[in-house]
Amino acid sequence: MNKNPQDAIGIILILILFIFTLFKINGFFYPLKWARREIENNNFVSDVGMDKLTEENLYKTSVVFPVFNTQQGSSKTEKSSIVSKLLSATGSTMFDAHRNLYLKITKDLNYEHTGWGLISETLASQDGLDSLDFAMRDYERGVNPKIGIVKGTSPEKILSTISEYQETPWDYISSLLNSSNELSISKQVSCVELFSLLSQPNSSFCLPYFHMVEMENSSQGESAEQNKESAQNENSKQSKKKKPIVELGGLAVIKNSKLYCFLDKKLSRASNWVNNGIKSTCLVLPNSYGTNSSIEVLLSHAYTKIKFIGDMPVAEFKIDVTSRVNEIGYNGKVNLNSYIEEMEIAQSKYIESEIYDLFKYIQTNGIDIINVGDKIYHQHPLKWRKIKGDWTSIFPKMELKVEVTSNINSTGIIKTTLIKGSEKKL
Amino acid sequence: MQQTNNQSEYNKHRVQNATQMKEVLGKSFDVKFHPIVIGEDRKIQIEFIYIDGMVNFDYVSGYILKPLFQQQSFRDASDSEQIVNLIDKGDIYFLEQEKLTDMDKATNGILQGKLALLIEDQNIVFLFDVRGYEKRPITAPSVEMAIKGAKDSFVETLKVNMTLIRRRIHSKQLVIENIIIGEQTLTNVAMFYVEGVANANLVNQIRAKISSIKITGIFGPAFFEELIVTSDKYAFPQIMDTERPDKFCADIMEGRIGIIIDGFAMAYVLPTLFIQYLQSPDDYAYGPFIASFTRIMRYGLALIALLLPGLYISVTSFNTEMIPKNLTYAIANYRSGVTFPTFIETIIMLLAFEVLYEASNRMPNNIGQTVSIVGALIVGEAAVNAKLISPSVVIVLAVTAIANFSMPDIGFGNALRLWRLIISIMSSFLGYVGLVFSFIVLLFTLVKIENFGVPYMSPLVSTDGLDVQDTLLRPSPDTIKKTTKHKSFEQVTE
Repeated sequence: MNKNPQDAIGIILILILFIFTLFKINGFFYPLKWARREIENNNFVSDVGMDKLTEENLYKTSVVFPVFNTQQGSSKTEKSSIVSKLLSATGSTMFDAHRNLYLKITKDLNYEHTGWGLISETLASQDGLDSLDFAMRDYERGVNPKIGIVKGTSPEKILSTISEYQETPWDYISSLLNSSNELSISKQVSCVELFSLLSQPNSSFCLPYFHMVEMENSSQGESAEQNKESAQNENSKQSKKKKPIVELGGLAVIKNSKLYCFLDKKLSRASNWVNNGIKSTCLVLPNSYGTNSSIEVLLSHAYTKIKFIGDMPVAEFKIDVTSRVNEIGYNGKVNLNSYIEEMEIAQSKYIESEIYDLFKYIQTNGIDIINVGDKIYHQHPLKWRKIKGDWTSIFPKMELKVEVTSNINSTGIIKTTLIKGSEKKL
Repeated sequence: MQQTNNQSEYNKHRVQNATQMKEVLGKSFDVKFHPIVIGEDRKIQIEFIYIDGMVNFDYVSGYILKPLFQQQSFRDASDSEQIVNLIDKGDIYFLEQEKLTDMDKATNGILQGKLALLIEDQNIVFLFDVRGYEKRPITAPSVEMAIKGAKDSFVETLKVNMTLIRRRIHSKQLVIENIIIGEQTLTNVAMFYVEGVANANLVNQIRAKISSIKITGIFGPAFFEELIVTSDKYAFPQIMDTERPDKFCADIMEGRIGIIIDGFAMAYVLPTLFIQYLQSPDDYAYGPFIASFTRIMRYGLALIALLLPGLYISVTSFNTEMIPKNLTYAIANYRSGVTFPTFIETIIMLLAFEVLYEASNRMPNNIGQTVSIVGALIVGEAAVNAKLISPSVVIVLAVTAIANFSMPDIGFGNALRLWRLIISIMSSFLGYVGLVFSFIVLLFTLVKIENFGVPYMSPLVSTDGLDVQDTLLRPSPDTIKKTTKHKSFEQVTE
């Protein structure tokens, strides 16, 4: 009972502080990024598209989010489905456009589960990626979508096309990127990585780009029976109308935070040879039998060594490639030892020529997408300090060398072809 | 006339003693006073006092009355002193007898079911332990069930329980001390320890603590448990109770002190450590790999039972970025159209679970199942269909309940239930911050507990090097030292 009154005052003050904290954290005074947001009161944006309407000088933002349709009934008959919904709005800034989206929605937009942010070619080349500034602020928690460039069309069109496939754009684009690993012509860059790349002076880097191609509708996902029926149909012309398909194009080059150019598939792959981005790929090489052989690359690892000749840096890339023969292209007897030796040499030369083409292109355009500057900084930090001011003039002139070591470790256990009668022909 | 004189000269001591006892016990109709005469010419008066229903009449007739009337030595006895000498020499064939001069002690003996024998002219009472009241047979444990191993459990009778221990530990170092507590109930409390293994300071402390208990009677386990623990009252149990004699023996062989109270079908072990509540007798019935896996799983289940509802509230109301996209969509889908916000439905469901738990505990077994079916299945499904609650919260609460029921100790499970509610409420206000904050408060509370100088969280928080054998993992028998003293008990000082 002999409690000190000061203790009581202390307890009361702690309680007041605690209650104040409760209100504060719950966003009672003003909305905070960690305030309460009931899960059902959110539209979880799966993908965002950002565009610039040049004529109107307006920014356009498009979002895709799932809408849940639950049909009420008994528990056994209750059906639920998730449908993607696309909304777009324009504004004088990107954030203004984003806010104007709220005129069309009843729930808050939540970007915590955003998978892809697609930026139009126009926006990326005119305003550059600085237009993403509003997304870089830390008011939105956990935002880290992957970033891609849209070529030749608008992100809205891409998102609406994918939504028509009954698939969320996130899943579709991610699957596209994963599938492209078989060719190694692309790469994935998250928003956080992008901000880090943008913060570097004179930075050049690559982002994946997407474009749309037209395909005949009849070849898409229809059964043979349906095809037969449609062929007999008088309106077969209508069934063969072109259908737009979203395709991965390759890599887009960003220089000084703006879109600079697009690389074709070969140059995209060449950048992956040097940047250790090869997961798997296919090389078609001519052989001494007069046919083409298909080589599947299994592993590739690049090492970079920077030397200095005087004040001029020289970058030497050594690439170890492990592959296997998937298609010899010749049905006769093959001397495997000499064939493998021949193919290894051909593979090395082919890859080297692909990479030299890339070197020529990037040096001509002054785009260091193979991170030579970064490698000099890490390997020779003192020398880098001397040359970094002149780097833009040094890079096009410096010597870039590549040496590929090939190792074909398998041709399969079947020594001769299984095609019936092929031996006789030869 | 002779008889009248005898009556009038009725021994002053016996009259005094019997009157004193009649004053104390005579108001109860079940206390029987039975005077008889024995000896030469049957002139020596004696009187039996006992409580009807608590003595075994076969023992009384066969071992006490029969020699008194039929044995020649007693028939030839000419005075009461001779009778006393004969009983002292063992002419009554009953081992469990004691000679008292203190009437209070004699009265207590009668109240415990013993037979008192008063003899004229003598200021002494012989007490015979002929207790023969009804007792429950030894059955298999009902709560701490084990798949392999012993199938016996403690009963309400102290003597039977002591026998169960003696049958397992034949060591001469095993000491059983008797302490009587309860001013009115005069309950026998037996304290078990292995001399040389148990810390003497610890034994003295616990003995003093039990002796110092001032209470009218021990009617429920909580009366004793709350009085014996030295720490402040926390939700987590600080005195281990068990109904398994094998577990009790294993614990006292580790240097703990065992306590068995007459009338309780369980035993206590002191001092208790946190890790004990996550150990099961089955851990020592299987190999170290299986036992360690089960034990690790139990730690995980304890965390699930404690944190899952709070975590669910946090991720659905505050931190949706912490769960994968498809799970977010699934929960949002199920939550759409539900009447209450997540935290209210979770708190309602937690309370509903408590109600169901209480109801099924109070109901007879056959009706208890009906309550579960009606409560969980019918009401639960109807509530989901009526969009009062979402299916996801039902899943969360069901997983939590199953995890809670997998705890080996009910008291520990109850503590988790209480803290789960606190953590859920804190999470509903502050999200992850509340979850982490309340969990830290819980850890702080646990680390602060100390009983009889032994930290509750030892050996996990030992500052004297980690003595973590047989904690998270169950080592093999050649590395485990079950017979040695627990390291944290050695540090107890006066």
